[in-house]
Amino acid sequence: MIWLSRIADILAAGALLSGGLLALLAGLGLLRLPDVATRLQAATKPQTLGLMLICAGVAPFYGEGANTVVLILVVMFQLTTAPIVAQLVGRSAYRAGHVRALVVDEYASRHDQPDDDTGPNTPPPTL
Amino acid sequence: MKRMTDRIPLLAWLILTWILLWGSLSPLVLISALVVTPLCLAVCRLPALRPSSRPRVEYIPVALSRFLIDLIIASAQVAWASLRRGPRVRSAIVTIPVSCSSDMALTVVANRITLVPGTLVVDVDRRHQRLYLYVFDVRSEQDLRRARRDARRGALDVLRTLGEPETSQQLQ
Repeated sequence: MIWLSRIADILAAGALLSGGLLALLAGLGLLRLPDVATRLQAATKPQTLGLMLICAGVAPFYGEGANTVVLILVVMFQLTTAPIVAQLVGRSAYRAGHVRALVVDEYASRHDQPDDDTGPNTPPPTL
Repeated sequence: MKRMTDRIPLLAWLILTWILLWGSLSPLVLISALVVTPLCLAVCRLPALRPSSRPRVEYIPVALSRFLIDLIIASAQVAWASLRRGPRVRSAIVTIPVSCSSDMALTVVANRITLVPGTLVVDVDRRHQRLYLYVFDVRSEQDLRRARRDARRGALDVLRTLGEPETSQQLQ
């Protein structure tokens, strides 16, 4: 049974290392990329996978039962909150003119037409 | 009374989260859950989640595995592009058609697309049934086509899993 736990060790080490590598690359991306929107991609997105990998790597050594469930909760909160932050920051950066490195921009032509959902003429959202 | 029954799933989820966060089923945790969770609901007046259609559970494995594959491939691509091209990385904002009437489904679609590295939903245009998609690292028409196709496919996965009616859902 020793070989089984050794395989688990190796898998966990691999997950931790690649999770850490993704965090490192995100930091390098922050330094090298040209504008807010591209940095946002580098800083927030691969981190999601990185965090999932680190949680997966930690899980076997983190005690049993309830503790592992907490790791799943961590990943779930990351999955639900990360896109909201990304959308908010992305759109504010665009409106503030900090998204410059664009080759195609189909969003620019839209600003003339006030057909935004948040306009006064739209009915309240149905949920 | 109708409003209360709508909130039961949310309340149950909050209680479950509370118990998991404390990691025990002691009486103190249970009693505090019954105090804290209704308080949360009272303070944050969220709209009740009432799915308009019946979710199709059988699509979950396909949708989930495709999401994970997208996540892994795109993470590597974003990391590689920022290493390799760095300051020369260019992006684009394009539109993709998404037809769906439910707010909840649209939210899940936008989150699904935004979670995948390299793409981001900048805005939603309900009237013209489309999303504005930010695409990271665009060097050719082909890059754009691929990003559009992947995002469309992700959106279709979500709509199919949530059981949303599919109208004009052909891939480009």
